[in-house]
Amino acid sequence: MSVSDNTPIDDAEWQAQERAMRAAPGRATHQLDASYRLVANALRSSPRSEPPVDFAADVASRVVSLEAGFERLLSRILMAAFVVLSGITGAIYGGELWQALGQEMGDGGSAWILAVMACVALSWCGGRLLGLTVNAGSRTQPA
Amino acid sequence: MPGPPSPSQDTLDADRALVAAVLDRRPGAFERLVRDYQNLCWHIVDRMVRHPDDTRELCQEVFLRIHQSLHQYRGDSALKSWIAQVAFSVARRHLERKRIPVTDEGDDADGLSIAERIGSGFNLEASTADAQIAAHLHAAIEALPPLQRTVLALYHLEEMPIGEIARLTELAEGTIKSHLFRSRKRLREILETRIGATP
Repeated sequence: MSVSDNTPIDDAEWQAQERAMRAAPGRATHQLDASYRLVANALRSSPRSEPPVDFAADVASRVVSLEAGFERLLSRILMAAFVVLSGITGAIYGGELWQALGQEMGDGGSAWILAVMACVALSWCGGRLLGLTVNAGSRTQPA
Repeated sequence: MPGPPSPSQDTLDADRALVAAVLDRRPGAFERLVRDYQNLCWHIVDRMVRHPDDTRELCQEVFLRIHQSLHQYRGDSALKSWIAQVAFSVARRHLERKRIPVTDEGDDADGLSIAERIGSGFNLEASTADAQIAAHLHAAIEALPPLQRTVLALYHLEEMPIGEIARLTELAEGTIKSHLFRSRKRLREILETRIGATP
């Protein structure tokens, strides 16, 4: 039954196949044409499945969540790189910088700088804590 | 053999506008792109793999890939051809991974002819009834190897020209024509064997 790859294409038969594909409904006079019309009709009417109705929305939401995930990952990587580089810079140049600041601002200067840094750190921690509380509250509220 | 007809300027303009909207992240633009081409993608993948769950997963993969590489679309050819090409390539890779032959190699490797594979539940008495003939031929189409089945569907159902099918399957136009000729001839032989007609 199989026809090998190098079977030459019989031009007359090819034309019969093409005629059948383009033929209007009706009876063919030639046996070959009649057979190919049945084949062409079967090909035209072969059952085809369709995507589910929610397919497009589903794919679009997957893209959005993938993009959001990528952006979150990128910002975490950048933040981690910033923290690590800040630590390294602080370890290398922190001592010199601290001394220079102390000399510039006098004896009380260092204490004031420490106080300002503590205020910034406390505000940041407070903000984070508040954010976490609000998020937890909104998650527990009924829809 | 003439190449595929060029898409109309209106089609290309509409495609470029849609792609620009997606790249600008306009709300709903990508969903519209998926909605416009999901049937084509589904049709190609389904004809290749014939497995509903795999089809859904692979079609999702097709559109995710398209979203990732949409910036590479230059607008020289219709978006439809490009999406069809990605769909075919994703489906073909899936079959290769599962070691399912995409096309036959001349002789049937498993020793079964298509006529044998589609079973013998055929009523000769009513063999001339159109519905039964169609059902039998549909079973024969299903039993064709994935590539031949898909090429036939693209040519007969999607009405794609041979040149466009050749481009999306990355095969020569002569090969596509040969697949079409051989598959249709094979279906005619099955039909004539069953209804006892002489060629």
